Amino acid sequence: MRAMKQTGIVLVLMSLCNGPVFSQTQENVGDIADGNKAIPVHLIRIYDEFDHLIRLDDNPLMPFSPKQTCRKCHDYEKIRRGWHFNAADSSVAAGRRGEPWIYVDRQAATQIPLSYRQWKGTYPPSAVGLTGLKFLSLFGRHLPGGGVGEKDSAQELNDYMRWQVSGNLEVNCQSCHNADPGQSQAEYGVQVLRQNLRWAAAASSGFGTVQGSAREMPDNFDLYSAVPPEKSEFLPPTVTYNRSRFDVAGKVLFSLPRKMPPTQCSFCHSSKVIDPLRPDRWEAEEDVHIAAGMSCVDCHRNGLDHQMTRGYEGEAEVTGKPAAASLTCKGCHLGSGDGGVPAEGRRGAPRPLHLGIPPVHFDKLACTACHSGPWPSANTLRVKTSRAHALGIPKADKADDALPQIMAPVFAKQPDGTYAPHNIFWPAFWAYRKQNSIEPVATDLVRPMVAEIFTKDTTRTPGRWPVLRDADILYVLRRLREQDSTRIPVYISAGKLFQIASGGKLETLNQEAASPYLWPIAHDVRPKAQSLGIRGCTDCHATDAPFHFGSVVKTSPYVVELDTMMQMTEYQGKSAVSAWLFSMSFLFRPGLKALIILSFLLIALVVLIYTMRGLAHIIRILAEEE
Amino acid sequence: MTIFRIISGIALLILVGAGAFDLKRQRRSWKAVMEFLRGELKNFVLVRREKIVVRAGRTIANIRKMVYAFVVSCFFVLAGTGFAPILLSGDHLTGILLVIHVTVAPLFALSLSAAALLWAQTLRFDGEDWRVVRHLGDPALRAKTIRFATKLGFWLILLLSLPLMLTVILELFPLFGTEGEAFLIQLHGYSALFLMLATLAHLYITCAYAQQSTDHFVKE
Repeated sequence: MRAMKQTGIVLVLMSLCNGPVFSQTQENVGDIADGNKAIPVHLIRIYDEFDHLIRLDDNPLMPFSPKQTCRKCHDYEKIRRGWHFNAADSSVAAGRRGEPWIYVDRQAATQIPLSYRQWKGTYPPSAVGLTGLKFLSLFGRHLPGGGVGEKDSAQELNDYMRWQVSGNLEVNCQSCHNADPGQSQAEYGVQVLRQNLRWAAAASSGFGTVQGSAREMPDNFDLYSAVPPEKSEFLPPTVTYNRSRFDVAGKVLFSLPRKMPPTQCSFCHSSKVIDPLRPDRWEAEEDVHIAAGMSCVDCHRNGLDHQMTRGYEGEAEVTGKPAAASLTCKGCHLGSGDGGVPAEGRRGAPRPLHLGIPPVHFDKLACTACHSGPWPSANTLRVKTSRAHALGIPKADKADDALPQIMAPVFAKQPDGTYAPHNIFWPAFWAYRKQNSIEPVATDLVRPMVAEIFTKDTTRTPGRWPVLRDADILYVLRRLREQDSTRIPVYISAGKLFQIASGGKLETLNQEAASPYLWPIAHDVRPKAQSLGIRGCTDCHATDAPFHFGSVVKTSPYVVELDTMMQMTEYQGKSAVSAWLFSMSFLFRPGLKALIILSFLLIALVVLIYTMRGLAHIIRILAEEE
Repeated sequence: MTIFRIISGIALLILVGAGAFDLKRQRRSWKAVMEFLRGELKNFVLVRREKIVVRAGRTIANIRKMVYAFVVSCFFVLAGTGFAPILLSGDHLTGILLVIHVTVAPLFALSLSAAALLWAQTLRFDGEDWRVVRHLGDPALRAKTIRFATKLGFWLILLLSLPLMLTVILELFPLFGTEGEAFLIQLHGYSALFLMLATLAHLYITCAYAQQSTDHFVKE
């Protein structure tokens, strides 16, 4: 008895002493690095959203939940606050402007930049009547889950029943971390479009097959009951697992390398430049870093908190992470210069020589100005991006001129005063105006009004954009005024604001809300031999150089402004005349150089001759004294 | 840039201040100083308007005056466009000012080399200058001291123009990397600063002290 008591006391003491370490290890065993660089094998059991172990003979078979499965070893709560999932969190600093979600409704003559982040020029999805669920139905295809997909506050009460049917779109760890060749983000996208949110991760994992569509199920559909008779022609969402992937203990092997290949990121971060000179894929170049064997995560690193390093100048100050400064272009190629320890040459980054380039260029230009994006030509080129054009999703519009119409490269001034290449697109949407505040109109409201015009008029040729004439815009604006007479209905398009003037005619105003939305291009980085300036100053400083004098195509559905051209200087905060004069001076530069060299030689000779004569005189005096 | 801005600002202030107070000491009142400066400016403008008299013995003298006036005009344009953005906003020289600067700079270089050819013989150092050096401060040699100072200014300007031009020539060719280019820019800036100080001092001595026609470039 006494021995038992002593043993008990020892056990209690041991558990108290080891308690914190033991519990930490048990809770987040995967989050504590012990320094071993080998990759842990992830042969693990899978769990459903209710944290029930999934067995192959379960009925019904539930889709595995990344949240419940991964949180056994990883801090899911911390991860879900990472950059890819925290857009809807208003407490997160938005940082540099990025690519928005572009909501296109051709029938409403609308393309508008949306974002849950507070990027200037974007609108919250709710502004155009998109609830969280509708937003996911449109854009969830290129979201790795989390955020609005599982944030209760973002789930409107009206959609409560639908959320019960679709389930949450949890953070899908496999979107980024699964190297299984069967991992399909396209399948994930299709499932999200079918509103199979809780099934999407399983469907894309490579070892599960999902059939049916939650979208087709009624609001009262229950996971554990049969399909109601009125929907009997539709399959309920169901998952089937590949039995060969489960071992005898019911565990599944996940292929989770520490560093993901670039193709994993490319699904959501691809862009296609519609270059008439290089129409086929094999003619295009890839980013020089990728070509050199690097991967995206070599620079875009993150810790457990999944706060991805975006890699722009000034990010360290925004995020409060000094290390971010060492992962910018300058950070790797020149060293961030902090800490007193040499930091340049990360991942073997060569130090650029920049022979003969006046230092003012490094104050006035971002590195990307010369090194990134498509080589500038006389006119901007169309660009299609994964997120804007649903690239990678089956049945996505593969036409080169598919909406939204994004153009690049536009060399525009950034808030820090440097010039950088940007993507640009021109918002077009209906809104109500109260003084300077613009409030977009929900497309559900305006779509029938615009549709009326097209159904009445059979002479129009359907194109990528519906062509709107003055009378059409006036018609819709009047209809909108009937809906709400307290505010001024307006249409924004082609950088202008249209409203009904006091005489009843269409009035055009310049308003900031009509400004184009620009976001910087970081990739693809071109090799040194294809950098701007490689052929000399006139790559940028010629009177017809695209850097200043390229034409930016302004696209819009408004008939007067269809594909209008604007000069690049419009976005550079400088006058075209001053840029032209400066470029003009380069015509005479060779002559001016020759003049200065000649003058230098003449003056040097005069000084030399008289110095020699002076020396001769001194020698003569010395000789006479002798 | 900040250090250069401070140094340039202080140096220029000291030089202009010293010149102004020295003029005030000579002329007794600020009004007289202003009248004197107006007179000098007028004199300078007249030189620019003077027609070349095609007459043996006078042609070269007039060309000299014209070249001198042209060099001084170019100098003020270059100093203004080069130092104004640095002193006023602490910014690089860009935009239209840069266009003016790079357009006038070769003209300045060419006219300075012409001035060197035209004035070098007249302003060479001789035995009298050696006497001045040996008896520096002697009131009996005041006129000669002023003559020596103008000569010294002339040769200093020529000497300082060499690094000024060389740095620009080297910058314009792909020979140096970022650090090298930055160093050349810095060297160009300091050469320009010293050249500006030497030129202003030279102009001041010429205008304020050289009374005899042979001492004064413009009044020759």
